[in-house]
Amino acid sequence: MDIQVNPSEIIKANSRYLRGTLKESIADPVTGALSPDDAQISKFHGFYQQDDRDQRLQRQEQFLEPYYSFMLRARLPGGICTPKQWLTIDAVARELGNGTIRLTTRQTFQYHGILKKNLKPLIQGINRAMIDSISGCGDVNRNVLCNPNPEHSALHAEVYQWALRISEHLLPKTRAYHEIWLDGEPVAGGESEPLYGETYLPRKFKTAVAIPPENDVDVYTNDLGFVAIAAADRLEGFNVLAGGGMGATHDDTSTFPRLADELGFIRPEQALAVAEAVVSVQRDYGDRVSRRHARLKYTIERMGLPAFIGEVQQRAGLRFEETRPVRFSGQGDRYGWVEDEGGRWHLTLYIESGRIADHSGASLMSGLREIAEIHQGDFRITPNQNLTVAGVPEEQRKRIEGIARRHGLLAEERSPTRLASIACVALPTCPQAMAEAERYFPDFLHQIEDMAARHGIDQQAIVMRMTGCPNGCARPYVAEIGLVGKGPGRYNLQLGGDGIGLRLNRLYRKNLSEGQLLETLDGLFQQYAADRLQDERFGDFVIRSGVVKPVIKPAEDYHDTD
Amino acid sequence: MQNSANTALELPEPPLNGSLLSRLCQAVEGLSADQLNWASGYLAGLGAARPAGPTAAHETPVMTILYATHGGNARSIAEDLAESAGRRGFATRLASAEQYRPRDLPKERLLMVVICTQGEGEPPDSARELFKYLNGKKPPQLTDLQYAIFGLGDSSYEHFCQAGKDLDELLRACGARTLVDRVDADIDFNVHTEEWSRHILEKAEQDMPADLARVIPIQRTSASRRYDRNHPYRAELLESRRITTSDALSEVHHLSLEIDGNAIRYRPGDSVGVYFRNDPALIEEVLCLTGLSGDATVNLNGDSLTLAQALDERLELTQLHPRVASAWATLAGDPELSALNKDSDTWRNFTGERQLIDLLQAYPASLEAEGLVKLLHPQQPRLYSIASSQAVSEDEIHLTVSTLRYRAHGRDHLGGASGYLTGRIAEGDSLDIYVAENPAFRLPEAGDTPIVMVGAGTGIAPYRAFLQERAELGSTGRNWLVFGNRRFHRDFLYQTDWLKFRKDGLLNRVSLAFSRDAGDGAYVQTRLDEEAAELYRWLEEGAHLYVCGCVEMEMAVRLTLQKIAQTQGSLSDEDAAEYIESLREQGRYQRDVY
Repeated sequence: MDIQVNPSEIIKANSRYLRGTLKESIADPVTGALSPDDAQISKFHGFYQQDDRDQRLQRQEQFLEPYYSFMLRARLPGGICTPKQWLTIDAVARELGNGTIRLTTRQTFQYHGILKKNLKPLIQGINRAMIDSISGCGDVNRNVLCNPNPEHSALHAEVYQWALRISEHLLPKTRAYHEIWLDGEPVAGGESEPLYGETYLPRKFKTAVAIPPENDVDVYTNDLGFVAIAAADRLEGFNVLAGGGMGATHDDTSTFPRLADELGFIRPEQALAVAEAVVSVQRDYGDRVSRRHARLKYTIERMGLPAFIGEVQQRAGLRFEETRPVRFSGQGDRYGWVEDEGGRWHLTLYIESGRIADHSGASLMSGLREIAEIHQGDFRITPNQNLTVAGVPEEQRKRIEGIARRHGLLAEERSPTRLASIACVALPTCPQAMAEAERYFPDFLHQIEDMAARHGIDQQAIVMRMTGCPNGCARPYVAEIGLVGKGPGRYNLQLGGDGIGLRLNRLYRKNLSEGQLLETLDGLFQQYAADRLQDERFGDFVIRSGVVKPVIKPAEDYHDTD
Repeated sequence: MQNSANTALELPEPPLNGSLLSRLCQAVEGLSADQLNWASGYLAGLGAARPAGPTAAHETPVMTILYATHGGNARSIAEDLAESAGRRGFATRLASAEQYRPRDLPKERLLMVVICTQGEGEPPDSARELFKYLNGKKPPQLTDLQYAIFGLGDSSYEHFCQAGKDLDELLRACGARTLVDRVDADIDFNVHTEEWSRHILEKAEQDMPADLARVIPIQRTSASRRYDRNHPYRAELLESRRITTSDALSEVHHLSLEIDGNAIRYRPGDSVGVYFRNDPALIEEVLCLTGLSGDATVNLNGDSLTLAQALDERLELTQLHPRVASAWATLAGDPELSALNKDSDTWRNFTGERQLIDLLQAYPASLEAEGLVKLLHPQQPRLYSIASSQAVSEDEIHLTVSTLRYRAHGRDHLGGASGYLTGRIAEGDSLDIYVAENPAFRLPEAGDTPIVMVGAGTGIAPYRAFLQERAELGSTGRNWLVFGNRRFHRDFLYQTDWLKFRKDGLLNRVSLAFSRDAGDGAYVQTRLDEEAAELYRWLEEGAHLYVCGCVEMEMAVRLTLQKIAQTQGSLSDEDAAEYIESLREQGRYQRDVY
């Protein structure tokens, strides 16, 4: 019998529960890289080997290896940390990273530019603030999202606890991380991985908890979603969703983005069992041969939803109740001050591209540090790469607002579209990037803003998302306008999201240059300005006016072109 | 069953033995089977073309010509003498000092030695055995020996021609007599060689009975046309690229020169001597400061050319020699300068830290074009270790060149040759080079001998040749590279080559020291110290150790080595020193320092 399996499965199986030869790779002074196998295993520890792609060619000609460095992504369920933790996060970035902090679309933070020899000191550094990076990347459950929801603080606090519990419950149990980075004692009598097994999952697994009406976590784009159902601010239970996923491969019609299906309603205390059951089904039935078909969404398509639900119910030992009705209002952040039911205040700051640094335009990093030194509440990283200063007492508002303004942290005077839009990191560090995103998007938006102003629609927020590749880390497939990198300076144009995250968009034009993008959008903006209904969003307009057909069942119709 | 012959087969004495045989072995080392076959035919053809002479050469006094070279100069001179002597009917024996068996000395009647002196006054490593023998407890009786010494040196160093002087003393102390007086030649030695050669041959002929003269053809170990310092080879620059990053402190280029693999042969460990053209800006400034016109006609060794041409290609404008500086001081008549010139040590230090332009600027003088040309030295070719193996790149020579750039005496300075090689020639241009053999820096003969290669900065260049050669030959000996420079990301020279060699299993161990990197800050000797036990193990297993780089670095390494021998071998100070000494004698501690 010929068992074919993806090489990454062999690497995982041989890694002795994610140890690999990481210690040896770290100690090797002749190269700044890890061994190829260790570069796969390291992802489970939360870091990713990268190189400065701008320098790649030149260094090759200089008989030098690529300029390797590492990106490390912390585990921060629901994006919440204390100001004290923030000061450590900040210090570590300056001492051992590249001096910046990158907030991600999954409510956590990343360091870039970490040299191999500084990985261990860095992990020990954040560990002192009780932060780890376990399963920041890799074929495991990733950072668990939870909408920062400042208004309903009591409900948020309760739901956040569930996000925490789910995160802990789905953590790998291997002690490899502690042994290698924290000088922990090796485990006597062997090790096991009760949930994941020695080959973990076939692919990444993303879990989010949403508190309606906000859908900033884009809950339907996750493999596993929990939508909090509350009555009178008390948590009654969750609607469970499964099978969402953003990634696709260019020009491969067997791959597609997908929104999660609704499985049903459960009581809070059933959440862990359900989470475990869904993960275990994916573990057992997910594709281990072709990684581009390995996400849960494809597993469900293959099994069929009823069979999938049946399997989950059996493993969890429960039956789903009927899904409760839910209303979502948007997928963006609400900037500025918001007061909660307890009279405390929450300020959501705008961080362009989520990149916290000091530069000539704004001293975001110093500003946050200054706030952290006096703030008594907590910090919450939003799913749109921004940061909320949460739990500010009335008497501290003015001071904190003053600091924020001084350092350029406020959203003031930025266009509604810019405030609704995000981009992933892409170049120069991301190995998958085919085109620019973070470095280019802010300038591109200036041109969009000018265009919108010309057509008189500049007060309308349009959710635009740019990614360097079709993996879709910045969730471009649920944007009103998605720009998916195809090659240097070239993007696929996707249209038709609803601004709430309940509808996938569709590929409209392929491989456009900047000029072509602007020309195309100019035409569409003109149409929109002329023919829109009152308060109609751009994404809804392109569907209604037939510019693109809506995506109903992506497995069947995502790749339909007119 | 056949009866085995009871009488032993009597084999005739082979016509090639001793130094001739070892020369032949040297010449054919590294040749493939195909090449050997071709060579045997070639030699057979040569043999057919020459008259077979009687082999009773033992009755004729053989003139033994030894050279102890550093950079190929001594060898060139020795070869020229051998050729002249051969044409005059002498039987000659030409050998490099380290190939020569000192115990043969008592049998010699005529011994000509061309010997270089190294920086601190020592002889080249290749002559160590010879010196040791002559310095030994039982020096030989050499009363039948007549000798002549041609010493090569540089009077900008303190111990000028010391090796030649020492050798003279040693031979005299053994009872030998001089044929002609010793010559202590400075860097302009070319003017003296012909005269010395002629003088020797005249005197030797006088003392030799005429009827015993024989004509014996000289075997050359190289191709029919020999390129050397006086007859350089014109090579084309194939490519030049900077291999340190733009933010690195040092500027190092990798150059590839094209050669005809039939005309030029080189071995790992050899260097090339490079002739260059001076910086036009510098020439301009010299003309300006001296008030001379570049169009003035001057005479240089019988050639008529313009002053500009002479300054461009023929004269030394960067390295300042004490003699040149003295001549200038006389012209300038500056009292301060003349005072400095009174003491040779002071003068040597003064000129050692200046280039010619510094002198011209600070102490003006007036002179004619002819005067300037006479005052300046001829251009000194610069030596660079070869960074490639001809077994891999048959028609190429690779060089690793660091651009010398510094600020002193209120101005910027640029290296003459390095400035040329990295800034003023373009791909497609040609330059004059010659292979300067380095017999004291060679891979072990046995391919399974382990080697430890210690280098700093561009000192790593010959090791690229070593490893390329070993890879190509399939040598099984283990290889350990110890390298130091400033920063891992900026000047880890040839990093991808070492990574590949390591991946292929050829390079077994790599130790690195990056002195400016945070968390490292070490030098190569630090790494050796840290890995003392391992290093000692390698040495005990017969490893050869190589050190390439600047003088200070080699000294530091040698001291560390001695310390390691002490601690790892539980040896006393003295025994540890003896341990290192014995490595040198066995040819297992070799160095290429500059």
